[in-house]
Amino acid sequence: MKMGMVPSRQAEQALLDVDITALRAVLAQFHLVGSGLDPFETVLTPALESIGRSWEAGELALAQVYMASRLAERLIEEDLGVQIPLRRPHPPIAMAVLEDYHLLGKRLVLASARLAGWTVADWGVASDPQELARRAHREQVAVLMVSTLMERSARRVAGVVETLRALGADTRVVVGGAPFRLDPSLCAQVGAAGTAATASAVPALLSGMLAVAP
Amino acid sequence: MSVTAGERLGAALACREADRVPFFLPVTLHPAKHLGLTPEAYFREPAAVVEGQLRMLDLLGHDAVTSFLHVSAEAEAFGGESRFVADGPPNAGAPPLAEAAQLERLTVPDPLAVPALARSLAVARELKARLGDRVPVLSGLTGPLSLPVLQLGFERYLDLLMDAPQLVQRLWRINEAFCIAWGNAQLAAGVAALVIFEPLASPALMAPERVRGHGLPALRRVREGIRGTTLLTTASTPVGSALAGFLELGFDGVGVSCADSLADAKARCQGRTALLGGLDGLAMAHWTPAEAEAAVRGALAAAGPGGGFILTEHHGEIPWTVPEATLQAVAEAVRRWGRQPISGAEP
Repeated sequence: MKMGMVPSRQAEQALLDVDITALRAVLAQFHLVGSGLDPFETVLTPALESIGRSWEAGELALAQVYMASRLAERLIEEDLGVQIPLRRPHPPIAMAVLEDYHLLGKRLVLASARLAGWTVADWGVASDPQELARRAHREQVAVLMVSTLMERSARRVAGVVETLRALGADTRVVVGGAPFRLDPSLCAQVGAAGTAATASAVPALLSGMLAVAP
Repeated sequence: MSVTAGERLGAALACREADRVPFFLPVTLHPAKHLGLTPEAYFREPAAVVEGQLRMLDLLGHDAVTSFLHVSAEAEAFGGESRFVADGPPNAGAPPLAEAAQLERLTVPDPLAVPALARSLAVARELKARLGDRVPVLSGLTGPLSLPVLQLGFERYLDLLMDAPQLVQRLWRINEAFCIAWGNAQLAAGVAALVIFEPLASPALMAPERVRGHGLPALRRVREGIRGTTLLTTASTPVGSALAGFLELGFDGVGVSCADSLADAKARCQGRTALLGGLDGLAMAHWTPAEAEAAVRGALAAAGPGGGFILTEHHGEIPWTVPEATLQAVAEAVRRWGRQPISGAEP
């Protein structure tokens, strides 16, 4: 750990080094200072957001972002033994991967949302856009996040949006994944309400959509 | 005497000019549509693939055909499956290597014993028999660093890199041997050049130090083990700072993404290795003929001067949604603007 760095920068370095010992040390040091601040909001979340921005700027690899996110999750699950403070109750949010078995993006988004205090139901892999929409309608989901890897799967999100409209549901569909990053017009083409270029941008997107103060 | 496609491609691979810039549109899916077949019916019948590739050659007049079928065929070599759909490429099913014990027991599969790969070899043999050296048969394979995405799933791959890197290193070694065997089998069947798809060597996906430490040595061994012409590409993922390392590996050509500067890449490759890329398949889906022409002219101006450039789609597969008319507009633009020598002036 480099002395003199602010805790979130120290945490960022430890996350990028995939060094859980250093990460523990940062948080222990932070607790010792006795600031009374929430270590998630003041240390881990800013560190992960900074890592997400660096990835978006092309300065980091997706593997580094993923490993940093996993390390943060592990620290919370294994070490701290404390609950991440949840936001005040919010409308149901769910997430699914459409068609593909590559769940990396979903996992990153779920971790990012969880660290920011959002409760997101993990619906795993969906193979049928219409069935996914019907489930969202049935469970009165306010925001349905759909991740895709293949271009064809990305285009099939249009089927989710159309089915929701036909059902009269006001569920908003948020899309993500490589096809939407590579072709920014695709989000509008499939009728989605929004997209986030990085997992760390998802909490702000949810705040905006659900009008819940961070 | 007119220059053949084989001579044109050969000149580019030797970093020389010919009569015009060679181009190849990787139409792996369009022939099925053209023949009125479902992708599954098409890919399961080598004679249909041969017929489809020859029809695309007539339609587009590009400088190669391909015996490459679909990426998920390689997953089948490791126990995976291809899931066919009616309107796109088959997707790989659930990753086949779910347990650590499977990785510990894994041996190098024989590509000749995998039906989907055997079909690709049958296509290569027949295309070579029909076209001889006049039009080269290209194909490809997934590189040793990227195969684990099919074998394990991306998430589990990265989890293992964190928790059991020795298992991943073992898998990479097995994949190297598989890539060499699969590559040499394709060359023996008549393939003239192999494109190695290695998106995981991109700094956008894997940390550069990990690629330098393990990835580049593995790619060098694969290149040395394959007894023929090999080209390396990150399959539309940005190459960025990795290009310098790629150039040290001795591949006959290097592909870059449309997110990379084609002109910068050309300047670094000039006289050293051929450069391939220049066209974005996703963007192609909504190009007008004028936009297709502008894209071709832009790529030719950036990378055409001096030879050593192969104009192609940067990912390695033209999306199903790209109209045939757009592909024809691209082909027409290359014939119109690709005559060499080319000046570097912007169109």
